[in-house]
Amino acid sequence: MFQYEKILQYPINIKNPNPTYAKIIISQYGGPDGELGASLRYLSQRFAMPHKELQGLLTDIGTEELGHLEMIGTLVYQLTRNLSNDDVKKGGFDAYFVDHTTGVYPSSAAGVPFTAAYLQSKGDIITDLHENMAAEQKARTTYDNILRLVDDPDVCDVIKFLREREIVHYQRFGEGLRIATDKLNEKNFYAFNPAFDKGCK
Amino acid sequence: MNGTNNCLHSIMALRFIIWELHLYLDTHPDDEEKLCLLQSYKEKYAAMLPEFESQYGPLTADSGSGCSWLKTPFPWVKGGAC
Repeated sequence: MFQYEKILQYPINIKNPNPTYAKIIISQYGGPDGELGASLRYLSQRFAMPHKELQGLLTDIGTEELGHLEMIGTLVYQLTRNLSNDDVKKGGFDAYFVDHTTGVYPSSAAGVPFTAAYLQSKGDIITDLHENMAAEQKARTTYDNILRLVDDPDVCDVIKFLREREIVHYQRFGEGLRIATDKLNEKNFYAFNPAFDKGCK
Repeated sequence: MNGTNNCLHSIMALRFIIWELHLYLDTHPDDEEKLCLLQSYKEKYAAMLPEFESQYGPLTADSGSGCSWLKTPFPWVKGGAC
């Protein structure tokens, strides 16, 4: 069951709206390596995990990613306050604006709507954990790219926090992989799939 | 204004360390030292929470509904817990 807490994980207070930045940052809302994909991936994978450490890890990281989704939405919201029509045009925000005004819609910076094709839930412990480690690095790279394109310290501060969290998640998933392999047949990790094969836990 | 922010930022910092330790304990469930540390942070948090909720309103649906839940801005709006 999900409970909501009416507070952001990290402070966000954007003093200068900037629709150009909003257009870039929205990729972490609904883009290929964004927070929506991350939360859905982990919250979906957890059902097939046979070990409680991994059930806990996927539930907890998946939940934190929903909190990050909220932060990205907040950034886009605060970056698009009090815009004039001219601000929209000059900021290169017009293509998004025509379909969504300053609403928040899960899509990439290029305008591609979110799809579950951005994630996999393969029902195999080793596969899923590798998927997740890759996902965290992809997210980290995306935040690196955002930092190259954005100059506002109010925005950069938040992006640096989110980037750092991806690195920590990567670390945790690595530990999860170690826990999983410790529990597997040491002669052959692929001898069976504990997530599926009967009597193999 | 600054006083308000300090309370908010202190609560956010406490919540963060509590969460970070909780996550760490998923892959290190037997780490007694970190469990102890987590407990001490939770006590500090419990002590600070009433003052926070008096300024920002209820944090969860468990602690308020209706006018009380809706009174203070949601956290993406300036003036809320952002």
